[in-house]
Amino acid sequence: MLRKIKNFSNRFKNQKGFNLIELIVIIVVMGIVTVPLTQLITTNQKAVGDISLYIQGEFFTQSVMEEIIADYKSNARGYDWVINNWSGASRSHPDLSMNAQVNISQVVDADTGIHYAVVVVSVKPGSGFSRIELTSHLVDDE
Amino acid sequence: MMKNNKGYTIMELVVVMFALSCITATVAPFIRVNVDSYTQISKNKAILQGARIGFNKILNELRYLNDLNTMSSDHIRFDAYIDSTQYFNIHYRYGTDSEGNKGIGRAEGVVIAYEEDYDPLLVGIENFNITYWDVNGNAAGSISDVHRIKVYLVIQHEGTRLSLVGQVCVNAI
Repeated sequence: MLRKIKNFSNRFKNQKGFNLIELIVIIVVMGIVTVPLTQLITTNQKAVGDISLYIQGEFFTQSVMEEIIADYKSNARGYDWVINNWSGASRSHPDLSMNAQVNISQVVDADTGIHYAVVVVSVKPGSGFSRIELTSHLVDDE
Repeated sequence: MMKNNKGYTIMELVVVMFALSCITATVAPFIRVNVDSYTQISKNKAILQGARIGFNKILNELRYLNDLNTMSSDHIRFDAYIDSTQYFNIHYRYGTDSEGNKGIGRAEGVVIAYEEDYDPLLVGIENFNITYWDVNGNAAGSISDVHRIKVYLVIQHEGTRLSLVGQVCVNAI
């Protein structure tokens, strides 16, 4: 038993510590590893900024669609007014540089013969984003 | 076994401490930046989530609007019917609480003062504006003319800025 312990302690006897060069190499390696990690955090921060733009774009898209539906339900306006005035129209966000584009296509249902409009409101929240699209079907009840 | 083991000299200890200090001083700013970023991201996420939920709540309750009682740019009071017999009298008001924080408060029923009766729904509000529109798309002159309500909200809080706009078509006034 005593011999075993002696052998174990001898194993460490002749080992040298790190010299300065080795330590510097370790520090440099640690630095190289740390830099990409920092960039990862920065990327996450940018992603949060992107989410906020996206949320603002979402509400803006809904807002424009709600305005179109309000005109559709208005006694003074209605289906035809929406088709004539909203097709190809655009609205600007009050604060941000984003625009809502409105596209309307009229469709006749082959089975029922009902006329309806497919309204698509789309907003591009910023560069690097795909467009947020909201679709609604308005039936021609006039 | 321990007999011949020497301890470290004071010089060796000083050198080790100095080396450790140098390493810590080099690494600390990186760690600090990461911790600060993480804290900021967490705060921003909470603000975004809170704003999204709060603004959706306002718009969703406005969709149940049946009787509009008060229309002003910073205060709206209305009855929201959940069925033909039950309704809530809901207030939303842009105001300042007793600590001087600007926010949007929500209350139900009879209310007297913002700081006493309103539950804070959203904080850090820079701008809040409600506009009322009639069937012709003009500014509504009276409660009976209101066909569409537009809510505009700007939140500036903890370095996060959000500009939200929402509209609700009101049919049952």
